[in-house]
Amino acid sequence: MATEIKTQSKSNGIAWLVGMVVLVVIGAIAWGVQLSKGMSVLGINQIIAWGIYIAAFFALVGLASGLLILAVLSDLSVIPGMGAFRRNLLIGSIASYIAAGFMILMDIGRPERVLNMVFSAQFSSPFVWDFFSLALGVILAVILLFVSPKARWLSVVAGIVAGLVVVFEGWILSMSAGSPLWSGGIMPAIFLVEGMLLALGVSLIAVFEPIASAWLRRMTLVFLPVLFLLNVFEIGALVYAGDVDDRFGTSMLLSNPLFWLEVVLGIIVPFVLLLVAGRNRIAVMISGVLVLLGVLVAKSLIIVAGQSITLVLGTGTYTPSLVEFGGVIGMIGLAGLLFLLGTRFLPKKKA
Amino acid sequence: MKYGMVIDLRRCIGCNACTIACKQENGTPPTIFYSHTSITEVGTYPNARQTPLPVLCNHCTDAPCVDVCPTGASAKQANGIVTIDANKCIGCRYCMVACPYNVRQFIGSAPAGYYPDKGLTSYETVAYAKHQVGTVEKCNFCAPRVAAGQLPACVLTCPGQARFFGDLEDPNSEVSLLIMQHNAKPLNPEAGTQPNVFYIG
Repeated sequence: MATEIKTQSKSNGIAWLVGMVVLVVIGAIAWGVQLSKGMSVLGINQIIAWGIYIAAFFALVGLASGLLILAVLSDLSVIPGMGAFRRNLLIGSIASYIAAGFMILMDIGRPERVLNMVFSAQFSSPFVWDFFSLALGVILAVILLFVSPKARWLSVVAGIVAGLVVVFEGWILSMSAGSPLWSGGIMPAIFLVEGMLLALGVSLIAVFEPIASAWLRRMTLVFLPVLFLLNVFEIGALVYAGDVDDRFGTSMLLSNPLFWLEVVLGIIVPFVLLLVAGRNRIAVMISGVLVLLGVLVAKSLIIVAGQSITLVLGTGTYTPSLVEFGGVIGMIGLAGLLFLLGTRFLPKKKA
Repeated sequence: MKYGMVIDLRRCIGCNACTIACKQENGTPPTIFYSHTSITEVGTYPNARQTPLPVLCNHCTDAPCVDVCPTGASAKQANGIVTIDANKCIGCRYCMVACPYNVRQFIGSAPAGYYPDKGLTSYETVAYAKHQVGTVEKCNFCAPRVAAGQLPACVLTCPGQARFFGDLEDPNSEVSLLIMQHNAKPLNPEAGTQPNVFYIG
């Protein structure tokens, strides 16, 4: 019996590995097409300059930072029972940060010049803050992987850096004079909550241990209404007191069926599921998947809606191309592949 | 020294000569416009009309594109002109997102020309070689012409003489006097970027 379970677990592992390799190959093909034909194969245009690549980048960084924060909370004994998953959380965080790095490489027009961000860095740009804090986050996650959880001060520093990365990404949007819809200080808070929800969504799917799972459910039940309220505060203020552009931007957002689908399926349904069927493993996993998809869609919608309204060019439209979907799928696959390889090959620290 | 422009909308006839002069001067590929004229319909039939609004980079004093550029490719020159160093640009397009005027343009792919099935003309071959694929471009007030003591191409070409160019810091320059006399206003001042293109009318 034990041998059968072990064999089945091994074949499941191989199936996951093959699945992730397939996704990475799809992403590689998409990038190949993009590099050979140019970025005109993407859905972005002169009005909507950022599309789902940027949304996926923000989501992957949010996930990575959220996972790192969960590992830190485990180190600080805030979440009981998570100690056993600390290694996986850290490897997941590193994998997601690296995949996010590749996602941004795919998004920029001259990827071979990416090191200009280092050698010609202009520190007034939130992008540069994001770049360096992200690099620091990866380094700290790697260090935490090899040191004892008892080095609490290091965990606290890593947690702060992980939070800062996401805050800087919120600022990338909110400090943009060109898009009134993003302005204001609430965007970093939304990004922080979304990052935590991404990490909780993945953990809800992957963590079976009852005590840790119960804590993850409780945290998700707190963060989902917080995200809902932050969105209500943001959109409500813009609709009620915003200028013409704000109101037009929010009306575009509110008239998009995907927005309501995201609110219902990405926030309300998983909240109700976790509340009424929190002990049912399938319900918990479905909630995790819905939360992940909801945040990804939410990020795409706010990024596109923020650019849709222009002063003189009217409204812009954006439909992601197959190449873009391929690129995003590939980078999600890369995060998964790096995670599987990391958990398999990185040395396990002796307890 | 702070270069700026005044556009007298009462004189603008929406002919797009400035748009074409700009394209010719800069040899921009299809779909790339450093300067364009936006046409808005006003009123209802039969009392309807079209109003042209020429738009170009506003060379803002507090230029958000310069602040957000991660590599310093976008820079504010001492003469007030906002320029892009194509060799530093990584094509992240953050400047496009940050610009309140949507006047920055991304060269996504190698230009195929206006008649792709016939290949590039000799002019296009030479002109497009100046544009780096994967980078962002925009109006630089025809900086090479200005350095040589000439007017920007759009100003020189405008048949209605609706465009004026000069030093905004010189109180006796034509542009400063026009701004004072006609209470010229910039577009979208609420963005807080202190734009340096002003409109009369």
